[in-house]
Amino acid sequence: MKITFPHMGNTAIVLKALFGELGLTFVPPPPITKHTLSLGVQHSPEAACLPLKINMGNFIEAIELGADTIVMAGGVGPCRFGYYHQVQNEILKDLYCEVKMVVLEPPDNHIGEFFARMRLLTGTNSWWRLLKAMRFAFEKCVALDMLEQEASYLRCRELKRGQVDRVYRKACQGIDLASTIKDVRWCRDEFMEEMRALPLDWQKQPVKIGLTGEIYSLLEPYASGHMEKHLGHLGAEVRRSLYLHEWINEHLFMGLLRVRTHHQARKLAVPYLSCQVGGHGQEAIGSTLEFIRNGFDGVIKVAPLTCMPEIVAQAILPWVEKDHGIPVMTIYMDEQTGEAGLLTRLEAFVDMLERKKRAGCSKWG
Amino acid sequence: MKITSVLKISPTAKRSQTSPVIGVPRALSYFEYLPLWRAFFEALGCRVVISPETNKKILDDGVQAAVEEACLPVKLYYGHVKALSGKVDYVFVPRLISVAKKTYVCPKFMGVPDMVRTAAHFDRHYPELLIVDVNHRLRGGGWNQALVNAGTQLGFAPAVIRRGLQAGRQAQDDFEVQLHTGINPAMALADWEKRGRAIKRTGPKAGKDQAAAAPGGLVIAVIGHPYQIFDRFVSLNLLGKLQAEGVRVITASAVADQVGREATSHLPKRLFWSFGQKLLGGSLHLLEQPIDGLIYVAAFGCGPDSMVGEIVERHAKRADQVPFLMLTIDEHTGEAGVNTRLEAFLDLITRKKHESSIKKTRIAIKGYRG
Ligand code: SF4
Ligand code: SF4
Repeated sequence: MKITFPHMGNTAIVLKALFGELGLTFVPPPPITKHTLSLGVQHSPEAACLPLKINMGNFIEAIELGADTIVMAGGVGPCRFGYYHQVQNEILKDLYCEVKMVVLEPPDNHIGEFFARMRLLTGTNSWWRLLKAMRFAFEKCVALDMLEQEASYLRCRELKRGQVDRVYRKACQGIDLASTIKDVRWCRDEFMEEMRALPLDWQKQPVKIGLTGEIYSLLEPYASGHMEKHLGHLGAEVRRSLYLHEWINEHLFMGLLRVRTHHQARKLAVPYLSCQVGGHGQEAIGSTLEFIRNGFDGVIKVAPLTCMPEIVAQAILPWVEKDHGIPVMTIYMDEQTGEAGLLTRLEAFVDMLERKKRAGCSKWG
Repeated sequence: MKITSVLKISPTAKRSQTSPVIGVPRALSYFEYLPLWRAFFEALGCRVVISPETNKKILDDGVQAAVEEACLPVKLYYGHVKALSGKVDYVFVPRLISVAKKTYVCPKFMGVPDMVRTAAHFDRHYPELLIVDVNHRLRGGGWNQALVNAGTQLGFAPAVIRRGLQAGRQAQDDFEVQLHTGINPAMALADWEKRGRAIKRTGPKAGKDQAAAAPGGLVIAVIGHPYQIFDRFVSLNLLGKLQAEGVRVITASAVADQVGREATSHLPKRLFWSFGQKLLGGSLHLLEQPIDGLIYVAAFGCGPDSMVGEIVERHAKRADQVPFLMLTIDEHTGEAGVNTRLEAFLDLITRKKHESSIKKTRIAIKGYRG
């Protein structure tokens, strides 16, 4: 059994740690490239949302490298994601027929189903060993998220373009190689120091942009056209509403760990959107309100084109904008989104925020 | 995850002694539940006003109020709500979260009341909304509870509401029984559009309806959301066109839920959208029946259609090659384009049917000789 999985940001590093600890063989898909996307597009339904297509590309490339089992998350609605694997399974059936899919999702009938699927993966490992492996992988996840967050904070301040990202990439590699929890922590602290020690403009008062929207677009840089990085280079400090470890804690560990959750965000959203609409629709509205509370200058909501929860959120956001007077921009991504067009839109948005900020400053002082 | 809606918005209490006039937008779940709603509200003594059939004005209003990326059915919903403005006291806007055990509906159904609320915030020409949650995931939270809530919000006494509920249930059951006999759902619905109160039909006209198709004519399954295929404006009168060509049309509404479930039981994953399941189960069941072709009418940008349509298409192609046509419709779809594709499709299946009948005769002859 050779396991593979879809990419989503740094998920590959985390899963490698997990499977490695459990002694399972795995083949991570090659990094996402144009080729991955075009493979995915070619074999997926045209009207599907972008993550499904990139997933397909990942699977096909990994299968070509010898993978025979796909592990991915599922769900029981109400958004498309919960049905992804069923459609992908049908497509693969027509393509190869011998690929197995193991889907980790809340059980439909009884909890035994979930454990049975887990057993398939863990093989002869004891539950204790599984727990330890999960702890190790989660540690890596938290460390990566901290570094990523810091990078987005510092990028707009760097004096020489690209330096922050160089250190960040090194840090990811370091954490990928770390083999004990102690190593992971050491690595995290070491590179954090290195990043902060770069030549940076600490006097700068950048505009602050909150990034929210659909999870895959937020976590996988390729799916948002590397928006976070571009915004940093345009001189904006960026913060995301969602990081991988938060999602894992909320959805896989049932919120057991003391990690930031989106409970608060959902509560804030209620006067505007009173029920969850799957995906991160309600969270997108709530996070926008949180960003406003925390004094951000603007919010960008990013999602794959035709994303249902995000369309609901987008329809309601003008109301939030009107109540709070903060600009919110929605950007949809699909396989046809060009980098140039995207950059122009981002630039115009950052410009507008900067002008607004200056005007606001001069008014008060 | 359990989805619940927490906001309680009560419309301002009944304005006068006379019962309020309730508006029903002719969009989305209307095509599934009109009898239930109409019988219920009329039993309470309310007058029910339905928005007109979709027209250019409703479309324009909807397109203008909704975000560009929304699917056409959702855009139309805005238009239909607005069309009722000034004619009614409240527009009934149920929030469908879950209508059957362990299922959901498309996320947009869950968000639609709040989306319309937002539009109303920006446009004073919107009527007052009567919003209730339909959530089967909560104990006793299905349609019954939703209607009780609606009645209570309007200030009716529990006993009256209970009577209304009975009338509504009865009407809906009758309607569904009728559908399963294979009657054209648009016709079944038409009764409820014209007059309210349940007029008991004496036995369904189904037999006559089916016999109406010429023997040996084409039989085509038309699969799509009811608010797509039964809305003449949206579907560019697809059903009418097919009937004019002498085609017998079967839709997923004619397939009972139980039958649909059996047809999908071999799939490793149960579909969690109840309306999507109706389409998937209906299609897979009909693919096993002697049909000449399957037309899937998808809404452009529709999430469930993108998934269900794909699976149906793959099954149609895998199974003994049932001719398959995917028609994706949005507000820019032109009638001419649809006509051309439809003609080509009908040509194809006529030819195929002809060939296979020749083949069948040959086999028969062979069988006779051998
Ligand atoms: S959240 Fe949006 S992009 Fe993700 S699966 Fe659902 S519809 Fe697709
Ligand atoms: S099911 Fe499709 S067409 Fe219907 S509201 Fe949802 S996205 Fe729109």
